[in-house]
Amino acid sequence: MVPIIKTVDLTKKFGDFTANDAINFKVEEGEIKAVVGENGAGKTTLMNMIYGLLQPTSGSMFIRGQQVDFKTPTDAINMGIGMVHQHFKLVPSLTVYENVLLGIEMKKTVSLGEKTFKMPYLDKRRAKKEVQVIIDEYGFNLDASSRVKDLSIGAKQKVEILKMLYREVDIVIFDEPTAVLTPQEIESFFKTMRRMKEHGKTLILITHKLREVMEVSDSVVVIKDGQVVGDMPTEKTNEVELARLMVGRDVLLKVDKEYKSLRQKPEVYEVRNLSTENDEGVEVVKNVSFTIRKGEILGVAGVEGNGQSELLKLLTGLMRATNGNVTLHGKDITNAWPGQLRKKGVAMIPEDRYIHGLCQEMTIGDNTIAGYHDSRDVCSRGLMKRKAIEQRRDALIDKYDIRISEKGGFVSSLSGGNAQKIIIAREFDADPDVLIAAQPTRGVDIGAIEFIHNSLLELADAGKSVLLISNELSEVMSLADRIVVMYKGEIIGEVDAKQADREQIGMLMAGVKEGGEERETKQA
Amino acid sequence: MKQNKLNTILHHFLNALIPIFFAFLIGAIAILVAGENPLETFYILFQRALFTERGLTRTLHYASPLILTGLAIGISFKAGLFNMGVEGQLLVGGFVVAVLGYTYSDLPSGVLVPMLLIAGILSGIMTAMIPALLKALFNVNELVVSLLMNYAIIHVLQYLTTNVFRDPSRGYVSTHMIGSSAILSRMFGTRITPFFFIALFVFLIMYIVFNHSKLGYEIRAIGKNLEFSEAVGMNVKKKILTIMTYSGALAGLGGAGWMMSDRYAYTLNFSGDPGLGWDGMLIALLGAHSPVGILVAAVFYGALKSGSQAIAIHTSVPQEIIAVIQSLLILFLSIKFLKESKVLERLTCRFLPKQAKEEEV
Repeated sequence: MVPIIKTVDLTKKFGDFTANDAINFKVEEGEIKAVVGENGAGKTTLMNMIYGLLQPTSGSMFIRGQQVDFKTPTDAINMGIGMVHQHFKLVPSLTVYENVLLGIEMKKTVSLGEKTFKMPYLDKRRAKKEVQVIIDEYGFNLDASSRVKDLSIGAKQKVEILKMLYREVDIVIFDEPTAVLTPQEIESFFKTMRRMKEHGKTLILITHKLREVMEVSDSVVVIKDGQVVGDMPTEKTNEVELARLMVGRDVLLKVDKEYKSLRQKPEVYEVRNLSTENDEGVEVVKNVSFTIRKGEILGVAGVEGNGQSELLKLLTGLMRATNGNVTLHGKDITNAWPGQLRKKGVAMIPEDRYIHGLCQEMTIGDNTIAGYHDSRDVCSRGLMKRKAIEQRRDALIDKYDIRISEKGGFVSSLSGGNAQKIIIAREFDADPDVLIAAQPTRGVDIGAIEFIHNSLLELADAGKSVLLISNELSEVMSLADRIVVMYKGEIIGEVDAKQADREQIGMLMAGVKEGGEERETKQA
Repeated sequence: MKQNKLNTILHHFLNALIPIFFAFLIGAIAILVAGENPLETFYILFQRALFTERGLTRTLHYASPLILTGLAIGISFKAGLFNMGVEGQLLVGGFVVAVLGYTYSDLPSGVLVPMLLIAGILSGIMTAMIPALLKALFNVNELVVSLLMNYAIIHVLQYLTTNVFRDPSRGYVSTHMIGSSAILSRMFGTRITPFFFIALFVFLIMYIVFNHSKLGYEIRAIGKNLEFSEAVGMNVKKKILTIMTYSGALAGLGGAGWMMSDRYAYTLNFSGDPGLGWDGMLIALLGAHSPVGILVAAVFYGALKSGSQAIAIHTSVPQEIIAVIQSLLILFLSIKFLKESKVLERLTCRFLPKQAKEEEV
């Protein structure tokens, strides 16, 4: 059988950098193909070429045996290839069917005798009916006329899929589709994928979550450093092998955490009834309370966009609380600005590395002192001690195994994982009492994830308190001692990480409370 | 690291040199059209301005206020703050010195000169504080406020000069001459005055501030990534005030020094055309906002000014050719400016999907 997609020596270069190096990639019709690899391995580049967003430097592509040369995504769609992006491209104020039809609107036609005329307005009734037919065919449980802004994330993703189905594509590429979903929504998404497969669609799933690969795909391709390093049926491989292929060495997938009783330890960091409003006056953090003991890691789980970012901003001095207070060692630090917080021993790993954590166009040395640049070690009488900064930089590079090509270079020359290590080095080296870490491993490769996870555990073992805000449920579950779940700005429940299971936390993430159980653990 | 640094310096150097080259190239065409030899004209321009004692000291004298206004612009632009009011701040500095220098002309030079310099600095700072405070307290765009304030200042000073502080004995609108003890007199029988050495001293201080101080570090961080600077705990509002204080002080000092070393009275043409503050903007751009670059650019600009007089004397090319070259320079520099800013990067972002760019890193 002719493969539905085949690439021959497909290569893409950005300047000197080879993102894809002679990739030979094959997808059979009707299968679910998983494409895995670390961040920066080149999987998205490959998909963007297949979807016409990028043009290959050399090599060729064949769709159903026919050589193609896509200039734009429209060319790809015309060949029956669609892509569902990680970030949805939907208009919230429009209805489901309007979003689906955006760009290919149907004009109302009027028949006069033998001739039909296109009228300058839309045939909404027909459009709605056609979209509803597809919804029912795939069992999406959606109403074509509901507004997109009222839909859950999972439903929005279905609208994205509808857009592709309506355009009659038979190959759909999903770029990290589960990153924004709750565990329950992920299950439902897998069902959708299987149903699409039953309808004869070919699906490509880009992901770095190996559990999902094993669960849903028929075959899997592993990409490392722009090259295919593995291509096999899913049933003939396992998570450990895939992880080894991705990283190039053995990786511990499970963190070894020792759970200790922290009951007797003093409470270091306390948040009481904290609330705030965003610019639109919507209460985005509601009455949040928790405490962290010495040596404890408190995890904050939740689906992205349920107030975690705002909570982080509140706690790191980038947003003001309208109500409630924060105390450190019993002293009030509510609404302190970041400089004060740092002096008092609160270190921060911000959510967005390149916005709040690092300055890309400054040198590595300058970045390692940011926020602590008026400490006496690096600055005296208003003048910076160049030598001391360089020594400190070199020491941190050694200690935290930061891989760089040039010590004096800019942070922009570092990979995501190494850039993140600079933040970690800077904040850990300040010897804080409390660390507020948000998405510490987002967009970081598996090797660096391992390092960062171990660093966080070591910090807690050294008697520091850690608040870990992460959208990666498995990360929170394996690192934290206790987990609080945020839903619509509130802490909807708290669970002991030792006994927690995905199902239970998933329900909380979706906003379903299970009665008194969580409340009790909170009292304890 | 050395290699990297060398590359940036070379990059800045070429970035400044290419616009100069094109400006002179097109200027040469204009001279050809006028029927003169452009090479000879340019030779006279630079030979007279830089390689004769008279020309060089004149060049350095003209460069003095430009060094200060260039630094004033440079320090604010480097922090991503657009103090477009350097011209106005310089005018206020000059005007206040003119008034005080006449009023207290009885004071001995040793008291009066420092007093006037400080008065010029303070007036510059106070003028700069208006956009700075509005920015820090209410987040009003400092570019708009400082730019428009220039015109308000020009007209207020025009009113004050014409009606309140006018010297009636003069045939044109002017304040009284400052007292002789307020004048920074010529040195070594040349055009150079102590003002040049004051400017040079301030340059040295600013060099250290830019490159070796905590403030310089913070200015770089704020200019490159404001959100980062806030998140790591710099008090950005306070820094805005500090930076604008420096900027205003430099501009005010420039005005004071120009008044005391060249003009001696406030006239409606005190700052010349287009104005020392505006020239400073071009100089900062030419010098890529680095102190050394600004110093070199200011001297180059001073050479153009003093050389233009030589052209008028020794060739039949009209002096205005220098104005033509200066305007061309602005034009070509703005092309470079476009290249350096994020405009191009943003354009490419539109065509390249985000992920692809991330993978590139």
